[in-house]
Formats: sequence, structure tokens, C-alpha cells
Amino acid sequence: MDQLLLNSGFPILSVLIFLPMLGALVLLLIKDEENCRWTALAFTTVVALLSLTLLSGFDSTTARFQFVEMRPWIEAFNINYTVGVDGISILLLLLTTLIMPFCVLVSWTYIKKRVRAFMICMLIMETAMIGVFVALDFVLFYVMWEAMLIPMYLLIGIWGGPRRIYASVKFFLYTLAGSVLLLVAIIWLYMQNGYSFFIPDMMWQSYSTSAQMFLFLAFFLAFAIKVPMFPFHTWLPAAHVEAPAAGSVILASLLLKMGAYGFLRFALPITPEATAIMMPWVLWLSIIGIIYGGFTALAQSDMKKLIAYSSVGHMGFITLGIFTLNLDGIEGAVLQMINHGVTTGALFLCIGMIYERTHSRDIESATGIGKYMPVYITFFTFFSLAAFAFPGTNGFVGEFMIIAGTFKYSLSQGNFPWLALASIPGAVLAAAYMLRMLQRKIWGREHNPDNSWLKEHDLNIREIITLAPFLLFVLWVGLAPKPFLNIMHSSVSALVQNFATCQAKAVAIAGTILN
Amino acid sequence: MHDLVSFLPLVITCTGALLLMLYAVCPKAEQEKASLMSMGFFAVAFFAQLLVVCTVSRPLFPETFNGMLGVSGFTNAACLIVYACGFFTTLSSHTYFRENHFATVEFYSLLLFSAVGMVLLSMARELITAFIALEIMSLAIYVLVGFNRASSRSTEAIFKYLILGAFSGAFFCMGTAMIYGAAGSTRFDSIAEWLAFNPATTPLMLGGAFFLLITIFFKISAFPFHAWVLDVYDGSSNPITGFMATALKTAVFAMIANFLALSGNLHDSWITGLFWIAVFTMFGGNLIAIGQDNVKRMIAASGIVHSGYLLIALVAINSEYFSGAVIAYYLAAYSVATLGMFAALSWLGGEGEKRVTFDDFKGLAKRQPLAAATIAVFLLSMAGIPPTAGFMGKFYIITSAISAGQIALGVLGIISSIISMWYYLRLIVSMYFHDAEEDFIVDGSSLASISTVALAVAVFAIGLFPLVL
Amino acid sequence: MSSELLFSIIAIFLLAALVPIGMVATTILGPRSSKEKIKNEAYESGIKNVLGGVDQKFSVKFYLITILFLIFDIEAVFMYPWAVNVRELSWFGFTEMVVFILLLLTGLIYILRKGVLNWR
Repeated sequence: MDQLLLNSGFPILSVLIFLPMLGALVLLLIKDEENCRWTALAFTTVVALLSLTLLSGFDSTTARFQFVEMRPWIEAFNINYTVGVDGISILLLLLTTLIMPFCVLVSWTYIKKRVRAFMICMLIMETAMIGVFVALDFVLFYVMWEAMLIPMYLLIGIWGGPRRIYASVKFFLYTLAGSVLLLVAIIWLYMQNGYSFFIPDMMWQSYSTSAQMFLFLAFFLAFAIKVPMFPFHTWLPAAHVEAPAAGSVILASLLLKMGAYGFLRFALPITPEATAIMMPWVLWLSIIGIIYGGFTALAQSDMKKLIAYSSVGHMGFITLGIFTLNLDGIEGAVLQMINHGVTTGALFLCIGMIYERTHSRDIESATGIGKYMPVYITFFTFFSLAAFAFPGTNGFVGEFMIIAGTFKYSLSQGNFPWLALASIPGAVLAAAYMLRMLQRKIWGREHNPDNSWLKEHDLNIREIITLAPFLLFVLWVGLAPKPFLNIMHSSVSALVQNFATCQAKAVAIAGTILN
Repeated sequence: MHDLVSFLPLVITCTGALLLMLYAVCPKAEQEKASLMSMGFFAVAFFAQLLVVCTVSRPLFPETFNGMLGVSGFTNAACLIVYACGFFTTLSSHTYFRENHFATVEFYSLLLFSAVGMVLLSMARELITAFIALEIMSLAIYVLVGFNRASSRSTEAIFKYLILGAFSGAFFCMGTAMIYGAAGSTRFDSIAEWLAFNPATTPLMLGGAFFLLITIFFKISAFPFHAWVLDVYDGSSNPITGFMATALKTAVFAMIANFLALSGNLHDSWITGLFWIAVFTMFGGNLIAIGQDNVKRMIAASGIVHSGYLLIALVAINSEYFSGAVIAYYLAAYSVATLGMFAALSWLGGEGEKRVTFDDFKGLAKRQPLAAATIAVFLLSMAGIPPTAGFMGKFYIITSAISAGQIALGVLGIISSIISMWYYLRLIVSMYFHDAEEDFIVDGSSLASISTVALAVAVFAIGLFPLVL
Repeated sequence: MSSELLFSIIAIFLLAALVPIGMVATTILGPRSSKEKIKNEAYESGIKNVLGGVDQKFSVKFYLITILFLIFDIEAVFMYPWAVNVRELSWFGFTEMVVFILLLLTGLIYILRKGVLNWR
């Protein structure tokens, strides 16, 4: 229990989890569509503001879990309702709560049918996502992890594009199949740990190497599909393209982070030995993902698909950072998770705004709009620059740290830094496909479709309010990333340290056996 | 005298059945009143049972009536499920028979009689009693299945079910006789004593248990005795299908779990067989279900799959610490979802069950958002998606399988539940993602809608607060 | 092979052999009067054409009467052992038998009122 800082006062995490749920229930009583929108916005905003108060109470000098609440839930199986945050999850939690109000805002006019049901889905989604990031009990985690699928499935399936049914079913079955072995792994760990589902208890135990390999594979399958890593990514473009704007934002900014978070929270601490064994493979898989995502994005004419494939590449960078297993790499990866959430989320919002006007996601149909929509294109340019890690934007900081971590890893192994070198073309490709899209949108031949009518339809106040905070964040992290790094520093360095001791112990044990 | 206290609910049900039978010959008898009466009997029996469970902390009477019947926490749970199933079935029949006019008062009387048989079956501690209970239950169910005499589908269903059911009954007798030949008794405890000193693989014991299991597999529609299920479920009326799928399965599983938990000896000798039957039942059921485009047949086939999950729990039971909690919980979770499904079908099915295929439910979410939402909840619970009761049930079953060392079975169980998502999703897809073709106008004050909503709430309530354990 | 199984197999064979033995023995030992053709015809409870097709239709009344006969006849089977032990079972046994008879009585009332016994 020494990893916990119990929360004696206001149960803030529970409130954060269940407030959106309450909002969904309140929405059931509201008939009017306009009121539904306002209620959903009110609830998500209150949650966002409440979550900001976490920062004031958060102690960033310790790696322990904070604001912990613990209540018995199902006593027969020793399942508890345990929640808490550390330096890694608090950032993702804040990302979730802060992005949700903007998702509601962008759906204001985008969603025209069944507004109430849409908002209910969004709020339930928020509950589940917050739950995933704060759960410290494995059953609670799994419940939230799976519960997330249903609202997302409905979001894609009801409000999605023409091929929404295919996309939603594929998304559902793919991600569900990924968690098959996760449940088995959870139950196995439960048996091993004296019948406890408490996550911190499971970390840094010395399970046998073969057991670790099995656990790692179970984790890997679940999380790699969610991330998605290279061979498991095929659900992503389909889901992204068909989802409504808010759905794409949630998918890209938050859902994909779950996989990376899973690696950090479970795979590394619970199966350190297996991670060390599998590390090179995962690293090269990440590199393949980066290059593959880049090339595929370059070939897309659909803007949403382009961003979707670029996500595959960016997530490749994140897993690369995580599996370098040193401080720089992991801190960079966590930072990049936040960055990617913000930048890609913002890009999807931008595309959603164009789609709302032209009803097309084709790059060709949006050529030359820079002339007519100057405000829009300004925002769009900044986010695109951030997406290919232009210095001064947030993407640069994250990718720089990850590549630095990769160099360090190779050098510490005494190898030539092939990995880091291999990841560089990914960054170049990102610049290529982003600039290609940007160029066409700003200067492209305008006579193709006549977009001059858009002159009257530049961004309105609501849309500017939606995008401005994202821009602020892009520049803030780009120019002064220190506060963010501070929050996660203790947790990440504890993770790296524990990992190193575990490795040393394993080596020592192996040594004694050999002698 | 103590015996009678623990059988109070049973006495109530039986009396109710008899009274309804007498009511049926009253000149002024009305079908709707009878349904309300039987609802009352089921409710009273349920609460009486609850009272027995709550006031009697330890199992006061491990065996009663000279060892013929026994009461334990597990049987209490099974009885509770049966009574609840009966209650909700009458609720939905009440609605169902507003649009379909073939019910008589005897319908409800027979429902109560079959519940009597089920309760007896789950309490049976002796093979002959079990057989009699099985027949009480089956005879009533046969009539209920074939109640719609005008329908040729119903006639086909009853014919298949009766012939095959009679066969399986004969197998049960044969098995009982052989076990008696081996152990010299039909009482469970005497058989257990005998098994403690003799191997369970003596030819007579092996053969006897084999025949018993055939009957049981037939009744729970396990592979390879599952072929009747689709036609019979499809042919019988919606409320009865729901009742058969839930209460009947509960009672039979309670009986076989009691029997297999007799001795580790017996259980061990059957574990490999049960393993494979569980696997084939799950995957066979899934294969059948994927091909269906009729909701009722799909649920019937998914019932096969759920029998497979329950068989996993049977493989994993530990005879020394057998509490049945896992099986009882899963049965409760499954019953709630399936009954809810059939309550919804009774509610929306319309006259002559005209809305039964996936296409018939297109766009339901727009016209009847509440109905669509509840159906979606039931489907997700059957599929085992958290935070529903179905997830918790599956979770317990997988946990018990893994703790019994059957990791392979646990993994196969989850894989099967992923496959099953496919056909559950299909219905959700047609309800939510398609446009409506009709208005789904349904009869005004229908009790089935209440029961549907109540069951949907129960799905979450049981899922989040599993009190049964 | 255990003696138990061996015994079962022998018993099955003996039983199987018993059927043809019985048939052959009756033909040999029984009195024969094959001269009158009509006596050789199969005959069953007033129904002449016993060897006819199986799809011959009977009135449902026959079945009803048969089933009712079985039910109310078999009840007597339960009463014999009770009657033998009636002193030992005393009042408890008496009550149980009264309950049993009452249950049957309900059934009787039901079929009477339903008009099952009216031969129309």
C-alpha cells in the first residue's frame, strides 16, 4: 500500500468519472435538441474545470498514486473500486477532460439527427475513458476498457459516413478480439497475486520468464491493436474515415492513447523481462509503422484517411519512445501522446469544419480555399506544422526527445544507431504529406471546384473558440515544455529505475543459476 | 414440519397451479385474469423463497423427505431464478395474448406446473425423484410448446420435441437403472459413498452416467444433441420460448451440477468428455447462430452457446467446495437477458409474430427508442460486454475455469464470445443503423414493456452488484 | 474383463435368445386349430383390422379414456403399500394420503367440468 496516497477529502476522481454519466441521465429527461447541446457542453465543461483542480493538489515529486479512493465492490472475488492517478495518467486524464468540451462544440451543427442520443454517447464515452485512465483495479480497468467500445461503436455506426456499418463492426470486433487474452492474463495475475486485482501489487513481481512472455503477448495483442501498431492498424483508417468529426477526434486523440498507456502501465511494470526480450522486435515494428504510415499517407486523396495514416506513423514514434526504455524516450513518448492528441484532434476538427461546408473530404474539392478562408487556413497551417514536428511547435519537442532516446538506447547497447536513423525518413515523410495537403489547400488551382462561395463562410466564433485553445497549446508545449515534463518526471523516472533494478535482479538470478 | 417450511414456495406454486386449473372450468373464467393470478402466485412464491433464503442463514435442511430432496444455497438460487422467470414469462404472455388469441386459462396453470417440476428437479437428491420432476416439467412444457394448435410450425415443434424428449426420458431411466445396479442406491449421498471406495469407471457406473448425461445434454441442448432447438424455439410462442430457454435450463443445470459434484471421482472421469462437449457446443452453436436471419432462431442458437459456457463451469466445479455460485450467477445473468429479449419480442412481435427477422427490426431505434435500447442492453449482456451482468457471469466462469487449471477452455470461451459478437451486433446494426420501414405501432398498455425495462435495469443491477455470490 | 460386465453380456444374450425360444415353443406346444380361417385372424378389443396400416384413425375419445383410466387406476397402486402400513404411518400417513386423494380429486373435478367423460 505504500504506492498509494489515499484521498481523505473530496472524492474528486469518482466525481470526474460519474459526473458525465449523471449528465447522460439528465439528458434522458431533456427533449429539446438545443438544450441537449447546452447540457452536454455544461457537463463536459464542469468536468474539465474540475479536473484542472487536480493539478493544484498534485504532488509531482513522488511517483506514488494520488487522490486514491478505495471501496470494496465485489467482495467474493476481492474486487475493489480503486482509482488513483500518477504523473503519467494525470496528463492523459486532463487531455481527455479538456478535449471533450471541444468535441461537443464541434458537433453543434455537424450532428443534425438524434442529437440527444449523440450527446449521451459522448458523455458515456467520457466516463469510460476517464475510468480507464484512473482505474487501479484490473477488473475496473477491464470493465471501462470494454465499455468504451459500445458508445464508440454507436458513434461511428449511427452518425458516420456511407460505409459506417462496415467500419463500426470492424472497429468493434477488432478491438474486442484484441482483449481476448487480456482477460485471461488478468485472471492469471489474480491467481498469482494472492487473489488480488490491485494493479500496483502486480507490478515488479518476479514471475517466471515463460509466464512473462505469455502475459506480454496477451498485453501486446490488446494494446498493439488499440495503438494501433503496424500489422494491426487496418481498423483505424476505416473507423476514422467513417466516424463523425467528434468521433474521429475522440478516436485519434484519446482512444489510441489507451494502447500506449496500457504499455506503460501494464506491459513494462508487470512483465519487465519479457519486455526486455521483445524490445528489439517492437522497436523495429514501430519503425515499420512510421515508414509505412508515412508512405500510405502520401498516397491518400481523402484528407481524413491521410490524417488516419499519419496517426499510424505518429503512434509508431510513440511506441518507439516507450520501448527505448530510457528516461528521454518515455518522457518524449508521453509528451508526444499529449501532443498527438491535441494536434491530430485539431486537424480532425478542421477537416470536420470543411466537411460541414463542402460535404467532401477530398483534397481536390478543397483546393485553393486559403484565399477565401484566411482564418481557417491559419489554424490549419499551424496544426499541420505541429503534425510534422516543425521546431517551435509541440510535435518537435516530443519527436526530438523520442529520437534522442532512441540514440541513447542504441549507444548504450554499443550499437550503431540504426534505429534512430531509420526513424528519420518518417519525419521527412510527415513533412512531405502534410505540406502536399497544405499546399493544395492554400494555393491549389481554384478553378477545379469553385470554392469562392466559401468567402462568406469562414470560421464563426464558435469554431474559433473551439480551435484557439488547441493552437495555444501547440505553441505552449513547443516553446516551454518544462511544466508538462515536470508533472510526469517522477513517475517516469521511477518506472525506468524500477525497470533497471528488475533487469539487474534477473541478470543476477540468471548468474547464480549459471554458477 | 421443518420440511414443509422450506417447501413453502413450492407448495404455493403447486396450489396456484391447481387453483388455476379449477378456475379454468369456472363458467366465468377469463384468460387475462388468470394471467394476473399466476403472476401473483409466482410473485408470492418468489418472495416466500426469498424469505426462506434470508431468514435461514445456514442450509437448515440439507436433506428432506427422507433424502429425496435437498436444499442448499445453490438450489435456493436456482429456485429463485425459476420463480422470477415464471413471473416475467406471465408478464409477457399477458401482452402476447392480446395480439395472439389462442391462450386459455390452462396455459397459466401448465406454466405453474412446469415451474413445480423445475423446482423439484433442482432440489432432487435422488435419481428417481429427479426423473419424476423431469417428467412433470417436460410434460407441461410439451403442451405449452404445442399450445397454438392452429399453427403448423407449432405442431412441428411439439412433434419433434415430444418424440425426442420421450427418448431422452427413456435414457434417463436406463441410466438410473444402471447406476442403481452399480451403486445399489439411487440416492446421491449413497452413490457418493459408493464412489468413495470404487472407481467411477466401472462399466455400469460409466454407462449409467453416460445415459444420464445424454438426457441432460439433450435438455440443455448441448452438442451433439442440439439439433432440435432451433425448430422448437422457433415454433413455440415467444413467452414460452423465453421460459424454456431460461427456467428449464436453470433447473436442468442445477440437477446435473448437484449430480456431478457428488464426488471428485465421478467428476474426474467425465472431465475430458465435458471439455470437448463444451468446446463443440460453444463453437457449433456459434456456427449455427451466424447463419440465422430470424431473431428467435438466432437466440435459440445462442442459447446453445450459453450452454457451452455453463458446461465450462461444470468442468471447473470442485466437488469438495461446490457452492454453485458461479453457475447460479451465470444462469441468473443469462436468464435476465434472454427473458428480456423474449419479453421484448412478445411486446413488439405483433399478431402472429410477424416481426421476427433481422430486417423486421430495421430502424426500431427511431420509432421505439426505449425498446431498441433495452434490446441492445440484453444483446450486449448476452455477448458479455461490461458493465452488464453477462460480462460478470462470463468473468466468473473464466476465472473458475482458469483456477481449475483449464486455461485452454477459458481462452476458447472468450474466443467464442468474440465470435458471438458478430450476430448480436447484426441485430443492433439493423435496429440502430438502418432507417425504419414501418411504424412499430404496438398495443397500448402492455405489461411486457414494463418487464422489458425491469429486466434491462436488472441486467445492470446484477452486473454491478452481484449479490448472489 | 470384470465378472460384472461378463455377467451382463451373458444376461443380454440369454434374454435375446428367450424371445425366439418362446415363439418357437408356443407354436410347437400350443393347441392348434388352423382349420377355421377366422380363428387365425388377429383380433384386438373389437377392432378387426389390426394388421392394417398404422395411419388408421381412431377417435380421440379412446385415447382420453385410456389416459384417464391409467391415471385413476395407478393411484390404487400407491394406496396398497399405504394400506399395508397404515398403522405405523398413523396420522401423518393419513394426512399425506388425504392430500394425495385431494390432488386427484381436483383433477377429477377438472375433467368432469370439461366434459371429458361425456361420451358424445
